[in-house]
Amino acid sequence: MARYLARRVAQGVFVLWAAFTASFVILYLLPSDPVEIMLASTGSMGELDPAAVAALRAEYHLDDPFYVQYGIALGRFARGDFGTSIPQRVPVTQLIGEAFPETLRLAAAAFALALLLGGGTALLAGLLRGGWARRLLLSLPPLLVSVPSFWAGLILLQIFSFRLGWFPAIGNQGAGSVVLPAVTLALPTAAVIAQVLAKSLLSTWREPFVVTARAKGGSRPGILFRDVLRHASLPGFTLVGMTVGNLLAGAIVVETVFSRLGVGRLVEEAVSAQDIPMIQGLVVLSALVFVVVNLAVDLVYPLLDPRIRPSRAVRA
Amino acid sequence: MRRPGLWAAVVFLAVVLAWAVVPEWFAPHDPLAGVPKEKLLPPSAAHWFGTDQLGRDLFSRVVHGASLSLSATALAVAVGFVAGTALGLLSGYAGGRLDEIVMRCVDVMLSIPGLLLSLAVVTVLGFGTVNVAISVGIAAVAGFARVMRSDVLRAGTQVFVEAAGALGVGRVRILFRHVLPHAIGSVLVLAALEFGTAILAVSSLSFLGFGAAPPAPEWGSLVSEGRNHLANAWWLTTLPGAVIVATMLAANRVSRALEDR
Repeated sequence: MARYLARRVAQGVFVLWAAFTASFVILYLLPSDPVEIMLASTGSMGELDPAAVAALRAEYHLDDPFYVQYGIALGRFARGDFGTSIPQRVPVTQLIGEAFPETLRLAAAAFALALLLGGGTALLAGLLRGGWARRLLLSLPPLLVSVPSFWAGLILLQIFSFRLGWFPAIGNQGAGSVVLPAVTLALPTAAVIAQVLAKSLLSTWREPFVVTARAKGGSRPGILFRDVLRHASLPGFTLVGMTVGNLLAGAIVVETVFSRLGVGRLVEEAVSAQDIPMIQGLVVLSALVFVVVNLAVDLVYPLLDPRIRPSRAVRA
Repeated sequence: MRRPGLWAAVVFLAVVLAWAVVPEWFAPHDPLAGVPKEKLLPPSAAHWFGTDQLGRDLFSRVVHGASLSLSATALAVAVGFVAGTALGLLSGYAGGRLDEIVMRCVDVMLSIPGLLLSLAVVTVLGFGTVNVAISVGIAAVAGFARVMRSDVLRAGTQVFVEAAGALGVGRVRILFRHVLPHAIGSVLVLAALEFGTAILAVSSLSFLGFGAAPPAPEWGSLVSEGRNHLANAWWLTTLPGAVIVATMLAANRVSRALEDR
């Protein structure tokens, strides 16, 4: 187990390094001058101050060959230093650290809601033997996947904030302010969960152990909840990693629509201001989330499915 | 006509495509010139989608926006398809160390959410519809490369490929004459599926304000402009968004039909 864990952590560090390197290549080595982008975005349009240009070039070592730049950046990265946000003049890690809890709360609420909605839809469809109600239920998820979340969010805002006045339209104040953003963020994820779980339920329903249970006279709901669901929810569990990535990307749009503070909003602001150090920090953050979530999933999986043992997987 | 949903999707896509090619045949009004007296009118027979804060006809703006939105989507899919297919072909056929390196890069790209990757690229390239399209395409490269590689590997083990090699046919010729035609099928299906995804990504980026500059109509930015009038003019955000949803649904329906064949 310890060896397995060590190997997985090493893999995770590799992914982080690779994400850092990929973002470095995209952001610093593409044929564009980062300093010009940074200064143009801070408002000093037209005449660039040569002293400021020289200072920034020196700060980011842009006059050195790229391997020197990369070496310096990698050294900072290893110490957890992503530089300072250009327009705000605050360390990137500090800004991200302040915004992350807000996004975490939003994403957790959305994840719980998505499980409830997606799982509920698939289970309800599983209870129905067939017919139009089941077809209607199963046609909802593909429909939801095609709804852009910026549009869904604006529709919810119009109905529940402006017409009915149930929830605040913008901001992070109070528990009410998280409801509409969480619903918006949850919808596409719920659709994916519903599709995967419904498919998995359907194929499990044909397994021999289910046939046995039915032959013994079990009721449809009884079999569904006691036998089929436990078996069918395992494939869905591996989706968790992907789902978290989607929630993070979705937060960019949702936090902008609802003017909420959070990591997604930081992304939007950083791109608007072409704040390159900030973008790089956010890309590495998303890779970190990906690594941690997938590691957690792989560690929990053997507890749920005793047929899978991590130590055996290592030897294979 | 046994599948009415599919036919409705095909007809809708044809109409939207016609909007993109000859918008002046379909748009009843000028998309850029507004009549100040007729500002913020709700949908009616004269203005199907209502008018905006400058008195411009929203339906005409949506019709004219089709060309920007659809060409950006097509460019995004083309970039992802060409670059991803080339990378997958190279990786699958070369094998060994190169294959290993390319596939690790693909894994890393797949671990970063697509929207975030597109945004990072657009930060460097600068804003505008073409750059948005390129950045969405770059985010799709990894998916194409992975599918293409696995198909090339599968095609490469077939007897006729070995036979061609035994007959002394050159490697490059084998690659393009024998491997590629057998491997391209599932990548083409992926390209069709990618259309819906790309419409969503392009409109999301332009909704965030990184696409077309203000007066030009583009679907995502039309929705974004309507945000300022959410409380008093529901049609400004709802109707252009509904057109995006309908286009995505139709594109997904058609590509699923292609996949089933």
